Amino acid sequence: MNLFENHILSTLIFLPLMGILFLWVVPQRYSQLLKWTAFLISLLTTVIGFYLFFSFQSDASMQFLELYPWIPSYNISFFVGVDGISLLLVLLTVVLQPLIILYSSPKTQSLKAFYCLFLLLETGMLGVFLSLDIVLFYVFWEVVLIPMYFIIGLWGGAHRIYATVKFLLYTVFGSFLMLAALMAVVMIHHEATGIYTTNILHLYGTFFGTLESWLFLGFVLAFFIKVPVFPFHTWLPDAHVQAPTEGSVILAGVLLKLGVYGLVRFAIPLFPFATKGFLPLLVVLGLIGVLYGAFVAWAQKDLKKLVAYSSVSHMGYCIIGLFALNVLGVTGSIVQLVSHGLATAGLFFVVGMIYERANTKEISKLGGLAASCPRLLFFFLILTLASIGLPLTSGFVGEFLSLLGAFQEFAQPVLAHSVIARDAIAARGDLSFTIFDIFIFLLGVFGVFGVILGAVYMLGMFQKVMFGKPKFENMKDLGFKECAVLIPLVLFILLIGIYPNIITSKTNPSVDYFVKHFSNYKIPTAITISGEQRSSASLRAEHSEAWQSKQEALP
Amino acid sequence: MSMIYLPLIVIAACAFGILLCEGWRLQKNVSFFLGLLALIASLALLLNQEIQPHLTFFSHSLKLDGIWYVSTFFLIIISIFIFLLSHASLKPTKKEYFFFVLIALLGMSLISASNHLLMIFLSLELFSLCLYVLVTYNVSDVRANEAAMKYFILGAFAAGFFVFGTALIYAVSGSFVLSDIGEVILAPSGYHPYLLMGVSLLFVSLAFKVAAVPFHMWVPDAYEGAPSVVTSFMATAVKIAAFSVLFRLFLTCFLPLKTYWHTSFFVLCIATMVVGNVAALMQENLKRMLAYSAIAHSGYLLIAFISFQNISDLAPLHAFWFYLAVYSVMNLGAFGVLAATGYETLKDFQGFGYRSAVLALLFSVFLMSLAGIPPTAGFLSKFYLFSAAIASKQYILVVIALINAFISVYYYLKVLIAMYMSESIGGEKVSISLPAQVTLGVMFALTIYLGLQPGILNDFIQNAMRGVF
Repeated sequence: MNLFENHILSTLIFLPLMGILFLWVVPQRYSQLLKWTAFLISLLTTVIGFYLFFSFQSDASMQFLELYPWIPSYNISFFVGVDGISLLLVLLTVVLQPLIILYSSPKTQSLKAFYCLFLLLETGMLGVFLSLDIVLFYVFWEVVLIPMYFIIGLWGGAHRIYATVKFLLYTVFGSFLMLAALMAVVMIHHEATGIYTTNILHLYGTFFGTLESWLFLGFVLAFFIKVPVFPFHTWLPDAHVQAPTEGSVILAGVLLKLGVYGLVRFAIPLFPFATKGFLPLLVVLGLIGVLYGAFVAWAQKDLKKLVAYSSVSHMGYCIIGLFALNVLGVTGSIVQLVSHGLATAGLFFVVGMIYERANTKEISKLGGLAASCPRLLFFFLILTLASIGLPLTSGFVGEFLSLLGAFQEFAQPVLAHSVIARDAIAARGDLSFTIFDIFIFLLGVFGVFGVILGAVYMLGMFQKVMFGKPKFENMKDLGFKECAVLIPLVLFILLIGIYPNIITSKTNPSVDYFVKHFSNYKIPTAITISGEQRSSASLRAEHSEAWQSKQEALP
Repeated sequence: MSMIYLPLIVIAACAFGILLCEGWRLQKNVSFFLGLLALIASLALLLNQEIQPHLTFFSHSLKLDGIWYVSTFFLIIISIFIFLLSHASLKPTKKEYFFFVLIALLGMSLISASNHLLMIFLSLELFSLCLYVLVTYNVSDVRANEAAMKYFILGAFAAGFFVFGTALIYAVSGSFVLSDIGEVILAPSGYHPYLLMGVSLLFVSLAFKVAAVPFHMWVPDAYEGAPSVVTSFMATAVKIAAFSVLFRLFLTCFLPLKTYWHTSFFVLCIATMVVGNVAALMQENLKRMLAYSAIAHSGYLLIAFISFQNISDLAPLHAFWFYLAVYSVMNLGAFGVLAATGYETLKDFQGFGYRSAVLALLFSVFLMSLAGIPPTAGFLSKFYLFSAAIASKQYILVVIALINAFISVYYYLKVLIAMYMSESIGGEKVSISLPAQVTLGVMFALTIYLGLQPGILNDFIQNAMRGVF
């Protein structure tokens, strides 16, 4: 047991990879055996994931650390660990994975490759969430791409090649620029301290000087493409529409989360000054994503495209909440990640089930499904409501906390100015009032409109598909397997919606720590006030103090 | 001790032995096995040698130091696999073929050891002449004849540049020996314009050999016209030989002149990367595509020359040799697939993933490695090279290189799409012979193994480079 405890994370990461070897020996013609072997392996990761969840201590430290040297010349190591934030995303991954394999129908061509790719994908995703070494992270980040590329390209719809090439090129473009920034981070740290390290906990607090903005943009571009945030989102609808149902589920459920996770773990803590500097731009992009995604989703005629654009809109909340950089906002953002992962994955499952029966995804050709499919109605309704963010579903918790956090952060200067007396603001000192704040405030207001728009397009879609004149006679209702896929999702959505503490109790210490340490890096005047330049030596000294205090806090 | 050049003597003796076999009309496999035996023997002899960094031979014309050691090690290994691939794919094998391969190997090994400008010229000609013949292996093929003709005429031009440059440098320094020239360069009297002109002429000539833009015109034609196995020999061995002499000249002897040659290397590096990658986008013939990708990889390798700043930081040089080794492995793999299957165009590869799953998987891994996707060795070699460049503050160069790597992903993907995602044109399962299977298997294992455990190659390079500077 002790051996297992000590290697639990590497077991979790490499179990699916080992599973590929098992699948390799199963002959192609035993399709059921292939499916259940893959299912069993992913179920095993689920069990380990839950074990991890329950044995995780609710504090801010990195736990279950494992460190093995890998490439000594640059001190690159296999360094994994889990904190409250990555714990939830790992859990999301291991919950979705067996459901996808359970859902997959053995009629699919070249089944062995299909399951192998999914298991490889799981290894990649878990690796991204658990890596604490920046190069290891990059390796897993790229490992995720290849199976997804083949899943869309081999089992996708009519325009699958266009979609999958677009997906791959967008992501690779971002990640290559990230690679440049990543190497620069390591080299600048080496120049300052004389030590090569790729350990992210050691890299925090490095002073990058004038390059910081560029490095930050390199990372953020890669992550924003993955999320995706407004101007970089165009690959997503194509990929979703063309991908097979299983691919869409894992794409919406986990892959989009990699981007936000990257921001939390790498971009923001590594570059706190640049984050502050670019904050307005980033938040505005998130807000545009919320509204733009909602409006475009409203106009969609295709069921899958509508859900895909609603993803753009919902991921916008994660960005807004995250860049509020206070406890409320970040917690909201994390909960929204999980909630969106569950609800949208469920919606893509439902769309896949409807498509199997009706052979169309066009909303206008569907209608009146409620009459013959009561079970479908039940699951579809809960998932739709969760997606809208109705109270008592997880979607509400996520969206509400994100917006609350954003309001606290961005709206307060404006509100304070208008309501409280001027000298009160003067006493707080750093609160200044600009046209830009009003702009942000107004956008914050519009952000709430996104929720309303969400209700409009989701309920409109639901109504058109489920009610009205029945266009299909005697449609088969959901079978046992399909219910088994959807029940866990619905249960988790309701559980988190009713008692969010069950997950926030695990994340809160980590979020606190993240927020506190972010604000600990005071913005040096050399960056904010031009003219009065302080020497970089004094800045670095000041910085290494903050860094050391952080080192002590680490386990 | 004095026989440190014994591996070269073994190769040369065996090459002439093979010619004798031809004279006696022995079994056709005899020359193959004889050559293979000689290569393995010389590899064993080489590994037994202690590197003597400062010893020179034959009135200072050869210097068997780390540069020679590393490149000869790579060259012999490449030649072993070229032998295997040739046996598998060239039928009927002409007996003098192996003679030419061995003599070319001899020339390449000598050029990497040359410490004397005339010696460089002689060995350059020695292996180039062998290659002109190898390109026209299929005498009746019009394309091959055209390719060889182009290669020969342009190569002769480049050789002319080299001789003229040598003459100019001799006029200033009064010596052909690199260490004497180095002393003249270090003398405080300032640089004679003839010296700089001579150096730039040498640079042009070698840029032709490493296929840097704008001296790259011969590459796609020669690569396309030659049999695939000869192409893989050119893409790997010739590149190592040419880069090793560029390395010796510009990073040891002409290093004090770096302020003069830095800019031209910089411009050529960017041009080579951009032209190579953009031109590769438009190719339908895989041999041409891989030829342009080989040009682009020369561009990446030139980054090491620009990032090398002083001898206290050898990281760019280690990265350079690591990249060259990994590049050879993956290119030998990729061209090996072409040679073993006889396929050339994208159309041939349609549905290949369903006809020969294992071969297609290997080919995909080689291409992904060329594109620099982890966890293959191609990623790690790029990581080493670009980190070294960043450490010497070449940010713009690295960003341009990575954007180029991004472009390259697209054309490598085209092959994957053809293999897995397009309508199959039918055709039967391709079966390849055992030597080819061994070659591709080893290259695949190396591509993955070096991506996960680069330590062994790193240590080898670091040991060998000790004492070069």
